[in-house]
Amino acid sequence: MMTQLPGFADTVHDAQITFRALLDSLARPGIAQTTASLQAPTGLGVACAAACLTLFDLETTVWLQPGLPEEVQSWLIFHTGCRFTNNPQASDFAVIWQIDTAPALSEFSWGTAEYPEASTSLLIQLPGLHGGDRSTLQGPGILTKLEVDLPVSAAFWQQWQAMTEDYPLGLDCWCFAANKMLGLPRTARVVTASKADP
Amino acid sequence: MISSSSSPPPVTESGSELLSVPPVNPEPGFNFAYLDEQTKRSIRRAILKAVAIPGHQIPFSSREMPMSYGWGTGGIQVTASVIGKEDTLKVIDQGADDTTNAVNIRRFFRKVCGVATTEKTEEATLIQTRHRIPETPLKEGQVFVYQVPMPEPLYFIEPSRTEANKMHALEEYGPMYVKLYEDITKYGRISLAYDYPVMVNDRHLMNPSPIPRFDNPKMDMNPALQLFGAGREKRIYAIPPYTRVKSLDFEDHPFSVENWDHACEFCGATDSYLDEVVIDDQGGRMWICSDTDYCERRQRERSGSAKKLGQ
Repeated sequence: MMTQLPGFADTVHDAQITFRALLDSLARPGIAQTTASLQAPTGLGVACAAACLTLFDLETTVWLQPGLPEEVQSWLIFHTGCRFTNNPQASDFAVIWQIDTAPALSEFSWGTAEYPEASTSLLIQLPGLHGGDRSTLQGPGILTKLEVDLPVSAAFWQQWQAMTEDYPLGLDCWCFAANKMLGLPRTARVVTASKADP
Repeated sequence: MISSSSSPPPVTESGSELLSVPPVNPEPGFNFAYLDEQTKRSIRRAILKAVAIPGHQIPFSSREMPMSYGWGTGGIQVTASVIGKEDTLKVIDQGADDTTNAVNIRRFFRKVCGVATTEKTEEATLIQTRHRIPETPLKEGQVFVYQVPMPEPLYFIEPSRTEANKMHALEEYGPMYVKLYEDITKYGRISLAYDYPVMVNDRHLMNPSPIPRFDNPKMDMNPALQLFGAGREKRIYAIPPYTRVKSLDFEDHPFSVENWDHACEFCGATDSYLDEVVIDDQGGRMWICSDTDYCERRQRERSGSAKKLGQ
């Protein structure tokens, strides 16, 4: 299948704008950033598609969560030339469209003691960036503490908390909804997870 | 260096370059910011990992740049991967905007990006520096890029990169404390004046690049994003905003910064880093701010208030 959809309208500057959004969202976890816009294939949101074009190229190996339309894969191959794998452990980036059925965080690569950067980065598509249970985060990029209410399960936060205990090993995440994104670097520690007020 | 056939930068009537220059059209024939998009992507991925693991060095495939190693090729590649056409760039070399290295890098980016440039710290969105942190506090949203000659703090203790990586992995930083302790037994104090090692996020030992130890406290919980690029050594590392950065010391020998029993002879500042300048062959010397933007602003404010008084 050959894609019919274009990539960035302005490859240089749209990628730069999206990179700055990716950078700022890791540097300031929990603060929403906006990417450049483009016509995304069915199955990818605008922000997630823009992030893929900014990060992927022929040096990167990508794991796509099963269930994404075939159009996504052909669009990514055409515009980035990235390689694909079925093994989450072997991927540099993982595109997740349904967090509840995705493999556990421990199934992805956390890097090695000498090279913790050789880890998978997760690109998680969510229906929105708010509306879930509240979690309080602390760590670099957060002045005191920060409350997020991402629509993810309590199990995700438990796995995340277990992962942050292995720092500097771990995963870095970006959560996407429409043209917005929120960063979650491995340094963001969960302080307490409490149920959202009714 | 790219040939300087294009028109010189705009100047004021008095002949000096303007403090802030609006954007222009970049020189044709180069990709925006000089580097090709493939290179930028690989550097960008390294920068993102660096931010996620504060103080940890990420290897990257450093490119040959149109200037030699030692002239800030690492910092330039980081800046080139981050910069956008809406950015306002400031470049300093030992605190000064008007020295060779700073002027050349600023003109390079004007040529290949056409971005606005400024000498005013508070107006810049992106600042590249060689060996100083400005006296004017950095703000949220600013990106601060250091040029780094030697990124590995353990190099003079453990020259093997493989072994040093292991020491970082095991957090085995005892030998660095021994080195500092040897200084105390020999000189009665830690004698490092610049590139004074720091602990970032209570985990990674890091070289802050050869900034004077005077600047070390400014890195701690700084609101700006700090990126470090070492071109020859092919390493990138970072300190995100609001991250703890602690200079190594001992309980009985706490870390301290330099101080001077002089004030700046141009602006009278007593709170800035001073350079000792030899002014004649009779042994005469004067003390002036190393941060030219800070010093000039203070001088302008002074002459402004002097005028007001004279009215």
